[in-house]
Amino acid sequence: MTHATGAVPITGLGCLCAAGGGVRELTETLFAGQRRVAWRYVNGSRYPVFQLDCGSVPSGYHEGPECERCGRLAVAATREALAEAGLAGQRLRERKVGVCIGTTVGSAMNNEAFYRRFRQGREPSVEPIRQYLRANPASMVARALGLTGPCQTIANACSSGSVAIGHAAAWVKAGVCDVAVAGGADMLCNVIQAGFLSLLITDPETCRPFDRHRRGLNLGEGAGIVVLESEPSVRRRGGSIQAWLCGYGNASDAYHISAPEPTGRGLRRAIRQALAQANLRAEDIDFINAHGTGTPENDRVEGQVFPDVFPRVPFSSTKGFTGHTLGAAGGIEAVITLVCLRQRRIPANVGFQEPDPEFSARPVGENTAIRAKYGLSDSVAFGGNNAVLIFRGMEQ
Amino acid sequence: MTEPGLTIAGIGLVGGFGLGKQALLDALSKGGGPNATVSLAPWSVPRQLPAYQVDVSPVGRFASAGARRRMNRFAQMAVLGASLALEDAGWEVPLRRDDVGLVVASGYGASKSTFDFLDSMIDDEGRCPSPTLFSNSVHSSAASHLSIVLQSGGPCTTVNQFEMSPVSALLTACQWLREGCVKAVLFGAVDEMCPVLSYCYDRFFGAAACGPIEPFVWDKQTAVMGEGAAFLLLTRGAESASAYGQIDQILWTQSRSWDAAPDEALVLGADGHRCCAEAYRRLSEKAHTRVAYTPLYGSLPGGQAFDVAIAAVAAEQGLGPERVWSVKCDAEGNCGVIACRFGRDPD
Repeated sequence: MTHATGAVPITGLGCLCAAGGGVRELTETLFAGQRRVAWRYVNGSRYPVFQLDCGSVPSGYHEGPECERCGRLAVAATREALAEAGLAGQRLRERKVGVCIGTTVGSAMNNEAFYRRFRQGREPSVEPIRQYLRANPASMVARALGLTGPCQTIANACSSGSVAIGHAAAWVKAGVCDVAVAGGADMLCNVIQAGFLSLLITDPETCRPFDRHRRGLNLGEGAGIVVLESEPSVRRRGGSIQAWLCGYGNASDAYHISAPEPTGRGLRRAIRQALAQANLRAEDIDFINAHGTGTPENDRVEGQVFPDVFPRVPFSSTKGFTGHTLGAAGGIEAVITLVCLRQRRIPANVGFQEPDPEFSARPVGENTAIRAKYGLSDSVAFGGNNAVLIFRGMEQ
Repeated sequence: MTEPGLTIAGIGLVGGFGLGKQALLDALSKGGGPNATVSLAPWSVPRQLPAYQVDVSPVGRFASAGARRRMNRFAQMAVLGASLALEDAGWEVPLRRDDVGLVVASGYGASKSTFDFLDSMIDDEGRCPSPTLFSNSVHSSAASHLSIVLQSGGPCTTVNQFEMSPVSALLTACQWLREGCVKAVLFGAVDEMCPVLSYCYDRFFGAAACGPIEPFVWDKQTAVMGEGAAFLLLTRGAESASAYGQIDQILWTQSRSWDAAPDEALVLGADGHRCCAEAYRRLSEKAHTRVAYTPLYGSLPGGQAFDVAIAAVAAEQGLGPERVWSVKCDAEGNCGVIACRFGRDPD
């Protein structure tokens, strides 16, 4: 299998999640080891969630239609990323800018209040449906910022954000657009919470990725966006390159509608593809931002694959800071991986205390200095969809 | 704009017209139209709406009884369309390959399972909703089932951009082939009807939801609900004896600013929605030749995949032009353009 090579410059980052209302606050929270846990009550039981701090929510978030929340998160993170990139006004308008956003809730037509009335024969107003049709996250970003390039909302479950970045990079490389804003956005939602509770993969305590006693995930919300830009576009405007996306891989388990294939067949293939595209060997990778949801099955797969493919490479799951933000996770963790490259260190895998005897992988237990040339972020999604991104930091 | 040079190696269609190319050709010759009526919710004014409804029972040709039991109707339509495309190209089902990508476009996703899951959640006050329904309600469930049934370990993605889903998804299929990370892509669109969608059609459009679809009547709402799946097996070279021709250009643009050359044939995605009529009217006035296939398959977000597939089949049978521009417009002013050249040896 051959791959086109050619890394894509990253010129801006934006993020908001429970760990921070922007990249700077996120960085501080991660390396201070702070967990900002909130609690939600479902059927008399309480579950930890990672929700946005009220000071971080975008304007209109709670006041506007619920179905627009994913889009509002994506717009807010995109504004931060474009501001860092120095792309606004005329500079933005004179470029062809694409939008590629991963989500789960943002694609779902699951308005509970509308449907309850529908079931009861109360002939509900179709206004919530009209709102849903206007709430596509990629379209909301394009509308809010006046962008006219291609739009794509990816609905690949929990790998959506990573896949969106991979697709957008391909657009930039092929000249489909000069700039692409890409990542993921997702919000907390009762229906999705009920779904994960039904699957019995929700931890009633704060999540413990890779720990022997882990019981599942905690849901979170947020958005993580990167600005991908062609090198000529960056040069033309005298912009500054923050990092490079140099490898992307995506592969299917072809195994089960919700459980990962136990040996990590699809994840291994996605890693091989990303390494091949980046023209790297496994030993070139300096650290891994793991998917690490805290579910027994997910962590077992990564816990077996990492020592096989990346022996001695330090890794950490950051779900203990952000919760599992589903379609946003790949975007938020791409931003965290890029933050780690800047900081030349990775945060402790909070929640991990006791190693699992079923696999030899051990995440870092404290903030750890790294060489910080190449960082890898992986996503292991529902339905067996695996995505891997490899980033290169700037020489310091 | 991309210049992909993608070969259409196989086509799989399932819609209200039936299953496969022959059913489509029969509909083409007879004119097509809704094949079913759906009842609105029993508490509503007793009324029925016409619809283009799919019979998914033939999925047993391609999926085991066990696999069928685990799939909802949405996934079954996708498996039918994709398997027919592979069969048409002379490829085996299941694929058992890791070098074929799956790109699925869907506007509404697994809407029936989504509301069935809500039923299970509401029925027992959220104590024990169905995990199976939840797993099958996610937008990507059709693509996941497809990868399982076809034993396809390659890249796989689901795109949700409403009416622009097919053109957006096709951009990605094109990039995968261009970068060489796959040898072929199974690209397709799938959408399903459900009681909530019927209710919305009735509330949004009233009596106008009864059609028939009149694609070139600009001042009148005439859309009729449709569902189905349209898949294309795409390769970079002519890997199949049944190659239909090529996709030459894929363009995401704005409907107010795009014009076809005056001598081009347009396949318009006009499906009777008045909100998009002005864009189609403008394009139509300048077109040398125009055609709309929507009366054959109905109104659904993935319609543009049907348009390209039907145009290819029509050209193969000498029933349509060999060079067409498929155009789909949405209510936000976006416009997806897919330029195709049909014929075995397109020059």
